[in-house]
Amino acid sequence: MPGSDAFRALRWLSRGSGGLLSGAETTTQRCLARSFFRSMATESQSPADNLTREVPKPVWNPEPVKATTYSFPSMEPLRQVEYPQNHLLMPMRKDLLHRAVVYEGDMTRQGTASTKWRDDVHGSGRKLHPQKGTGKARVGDKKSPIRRGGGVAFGPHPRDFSSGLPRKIYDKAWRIALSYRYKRGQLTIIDNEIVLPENATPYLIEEIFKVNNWGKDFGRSTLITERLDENLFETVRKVGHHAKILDRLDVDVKDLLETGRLIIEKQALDRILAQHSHDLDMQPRKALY
Amino acid sequence: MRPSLRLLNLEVPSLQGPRALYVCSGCRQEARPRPIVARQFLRHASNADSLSERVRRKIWGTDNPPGVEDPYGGQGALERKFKNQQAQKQEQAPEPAPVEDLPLVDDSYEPATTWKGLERIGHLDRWNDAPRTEVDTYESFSLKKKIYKKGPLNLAAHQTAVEICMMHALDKPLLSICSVAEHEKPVFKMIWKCKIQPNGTWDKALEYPNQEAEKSLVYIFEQIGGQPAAPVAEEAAAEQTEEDTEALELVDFNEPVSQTPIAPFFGYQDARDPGCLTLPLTDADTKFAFLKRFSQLTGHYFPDPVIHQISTVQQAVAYVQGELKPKPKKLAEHLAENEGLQGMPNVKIFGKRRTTLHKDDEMGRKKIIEAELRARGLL
Repeated sequence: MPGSDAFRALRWLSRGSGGLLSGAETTTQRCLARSFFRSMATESQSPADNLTREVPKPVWNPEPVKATTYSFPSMEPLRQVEYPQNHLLMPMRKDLLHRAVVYEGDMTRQGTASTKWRDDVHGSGRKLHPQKGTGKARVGDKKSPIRRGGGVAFGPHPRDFSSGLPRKIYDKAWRIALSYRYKRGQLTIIDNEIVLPENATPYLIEEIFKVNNWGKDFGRSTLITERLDENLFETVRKVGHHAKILDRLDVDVKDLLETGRLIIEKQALDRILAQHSHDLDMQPRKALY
Repeated sequence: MRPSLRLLNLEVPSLQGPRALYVCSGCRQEARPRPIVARQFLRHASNADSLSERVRRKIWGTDNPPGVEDPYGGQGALERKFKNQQAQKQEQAPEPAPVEDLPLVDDSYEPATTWKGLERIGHLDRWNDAPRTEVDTYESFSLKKKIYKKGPLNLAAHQTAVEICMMHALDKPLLSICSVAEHEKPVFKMIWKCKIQPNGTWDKALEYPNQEAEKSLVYIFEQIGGQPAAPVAEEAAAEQTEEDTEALELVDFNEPVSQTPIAPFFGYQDARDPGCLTLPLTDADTKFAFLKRFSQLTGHYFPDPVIHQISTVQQAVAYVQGELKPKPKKLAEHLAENEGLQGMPNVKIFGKRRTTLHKDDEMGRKKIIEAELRARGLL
């Protein structure tokens, strides 16, 4: 019988622990006694440990993440900037990243493949030969899908492949991707704009990438700028085996995960984070009377 | 030949007239008025005046009429320009080098079958066919060639620590030290001789070798922060202190090995004092300044999460040294380095999977098998 077991345990505890229950703290005794009575029904572990240990308080203001900003061509560390933990120190969620990448892939599918069904094919609907009397199999018109030059049965037609993803998940995926880069030390934040001197050739980009170990041998790098500078983009794209360059509006989660490291303008990073933190800003809905 | 009657009628009234009036047909032909068109070709004849010239002479009544010699013809504007250019070119162009008389057929000539070794002419209009421009020089903040040896890394750490200590002691902005990419040799030598007390704080840890060095170092470092004339002043100070350090050099027991100016840290091989490694990097500004200067001197980059973890100079140096020895990619290599596993008598680590061949080899069976295979002619 569980009731008698509990009583035996209680007796053992009062003897064995040298008067744990016989102490002056009556509150402890009361709590313990109550818990033992409950254990008769549920057989759960006694919360006696919790009473002696200090309960950890929840931290409401976690320490911000520090990141170094650099000046672009010289890569001089300029200052340290702070970001909230839920921006650049998100725990890894591969499943969310996968969903985001699939969602983007679906979104970017052109979906323009098109074939003609027998009604769409140009031509006459004349019966090729009479139904009876020829000794041949009965036929319809020339545009039948079993004939050469006929329509295509069950062929592709233009359609929209895009799938949906809850915005909270997508926004989280953006921050997870950036956090992943940050945690691996692959997020280089540029304080100023990414610009090159006028008339610079791809030789300069090659040199910069070589000195900083950003090139092909180190997994390529993605440069992300706030605005689209045609000359810069053209120059960088000539050394496409080392570098990839995108403006902020062109960046996807997939691009953040693709190459060895991200070199991103601070302004672009801030805007990306601001635009993808809807799930953080949301207030629980209140009833308005 | 009977003269033309018609012509004779013109000039010679009758055949019966006096013989003096007779004009030969050649002269008569000459005297005849000719149409202008027919005479045009004479215009440029070298020995004849052009028609227009003659007309002008007649109009003006002199042999040297004023105005353009030939307003209606002569060389065209293009022709004249071309002639001028030709003349200029001939003036400018140096005399062409005398062409050696090459033998038409060289005995040693062999027609090429592949392109190898042939002169490359023209290009495919790719960007790397064009040469570099002046703009394409990259000036990096840190060293372009990273330092990979332990000694120079310690030197860099020591130098950085001394500099930051000085800036702390002088109460100057810490980051301004980065404006001095490299010190003069005597200044560096003084820094090298400085000691850092272990477990000290940044503003009191520095121990100067002597009074003079302290004075000159303080003077030099006071120039650094924020004054535009700093480098010049520093050079002057360096010159000033050179004499002081000359004397010190004689006492120096650990002379640098190589004196090449290109070598980093003027050929010094290792730091004399490891005291800097104990300094803490808990203060955010000091840490940032230290890591910035250290990466400037060594060329190594500190990622943000690493910066967060570092709390002493020792850890910063250890990180860079750990970067030199990256974690092996193969698991076998990684396990082979594990000392705990090496000591175990029943564990062996191999780079490849063990097969029966390996077992045969170990047991001594391989020789017998091979001998048997040879005997049967299978090997």
